[in-house]
Amino acid sequence: MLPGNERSVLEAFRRGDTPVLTQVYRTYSPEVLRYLSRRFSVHSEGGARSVALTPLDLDAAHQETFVRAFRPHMRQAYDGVRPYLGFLLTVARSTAIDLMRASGRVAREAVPLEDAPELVHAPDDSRTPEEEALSSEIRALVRRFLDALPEEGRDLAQLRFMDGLSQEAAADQLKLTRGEVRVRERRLRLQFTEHLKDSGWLDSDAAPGRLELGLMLATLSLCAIPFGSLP
Amino acid sequence: MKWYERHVDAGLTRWSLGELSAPESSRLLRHAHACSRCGSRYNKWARAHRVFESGQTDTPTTMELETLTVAGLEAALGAAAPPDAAHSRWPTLAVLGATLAALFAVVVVPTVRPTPTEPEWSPRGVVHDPAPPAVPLAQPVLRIFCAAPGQSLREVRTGTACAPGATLAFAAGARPPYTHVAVRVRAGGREEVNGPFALSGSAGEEGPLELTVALPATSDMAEVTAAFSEHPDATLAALRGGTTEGVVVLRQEVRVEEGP
Repeated sequence: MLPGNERSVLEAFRRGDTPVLTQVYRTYSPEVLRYLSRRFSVHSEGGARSVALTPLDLDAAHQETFVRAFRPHMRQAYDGVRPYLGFLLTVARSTAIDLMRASGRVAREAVPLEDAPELVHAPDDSRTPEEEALSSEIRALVRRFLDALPEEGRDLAQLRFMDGLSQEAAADQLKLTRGEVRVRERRLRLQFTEHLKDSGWLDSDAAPGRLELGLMLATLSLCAIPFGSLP
Repeated sequence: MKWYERHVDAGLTRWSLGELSAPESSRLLRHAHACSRCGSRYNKWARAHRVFESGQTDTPTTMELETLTVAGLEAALGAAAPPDAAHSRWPTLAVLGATLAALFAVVVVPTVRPTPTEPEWSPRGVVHDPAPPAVPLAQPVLRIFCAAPGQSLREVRTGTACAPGATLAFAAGARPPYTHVAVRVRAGGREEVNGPFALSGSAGEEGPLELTVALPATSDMAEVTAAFSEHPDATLAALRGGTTEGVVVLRQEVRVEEGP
């Protein structure tokens, strides 16, 4: 039940029938999210570099892609011949450009509108030093958590997340029932969230602010000392 | 995430467990976009979970993908609504006072079942009807607004006036099967029929109509008549004196004079 498959579905899509639009959304949303979460290569005067949307920008770009694609004139613009996914990803790319420009992550002059196709998926994984530092920081955080886990917890994390096994497959390997895996996985996630909170890493942005405040208070205190009291 | 949880923090644990409902996910993300501290926290939280689950900061977790998919559906479907049904254009309409339905003289042709009586204290737009739900219920609403130069837009209720030379604006809503409305305005010896307009909101969710009508420059009595039907042609026919079968007609007079 997708707009490229049948004439009647295409017509219903163009009319804006909610069940058809819902079906289209559910079918293509994961593809759009995967597309938007990759790194994009940007060409500018300084050369090529790759950028990625932040997790929050990913939400904004994904939502905006469908908002744009589902507007009446855009539904009418789809010819029903080309694969709809290609049409949708073109909208997604344009949305990503707009969002990165708006957030200042991509200079306006870096990707002129007429050169929008230059924003392509990056073939490599070239990251900025800041991104590398952030990535290393998070890896160390996760490593500390995993190291503190008992062996069974580490094994479960390895199978489910690193190896990407299903709960059933992980249960087979660990000689557990699927229910037991589900319960342990939930506990594992809870422990990880607690670890994030306890580590103070989530609040680390506030640290420089506190430091600045401390320095300012110290300076004010020094200024407030009467000269006469100095030796 | 309950309504009283002020920041993203409280919802993040349940978010990472995949336990947020669609409205809760939407609310959490909306809040994260609006609150810089919470947005930063959400980004960190999401990246940490990505690395925990895939070893990559750029690969969303399955839970994240599910949450974003669920949270974005409502906005996507909202964008699909025709422009004249977009409530965001006049957001205050949704929260303005009581419906004009009770203020209108409702003329229902004999072939249409009368509107069922609503019990006291029922929410506007909710119809309590003992009849089988398969039978469609009629509860169309037309609201009239007066836009006078130098004054804010206000709703015109029975007995209130709109200044000469001002402009009338309209909002309408109806339950299925009433999907279209046409509006006739008689004032200053002229008659103007507009529409039909497609309706998407139900009673209590009236959407603005792409219609404004200028009132005469002198004192007068204007008559506004709206015809609701599932057939666009029938709405116009009813206003022009044709068949009225399956049509609900609402009528209100508006005094055209200075003062409230």
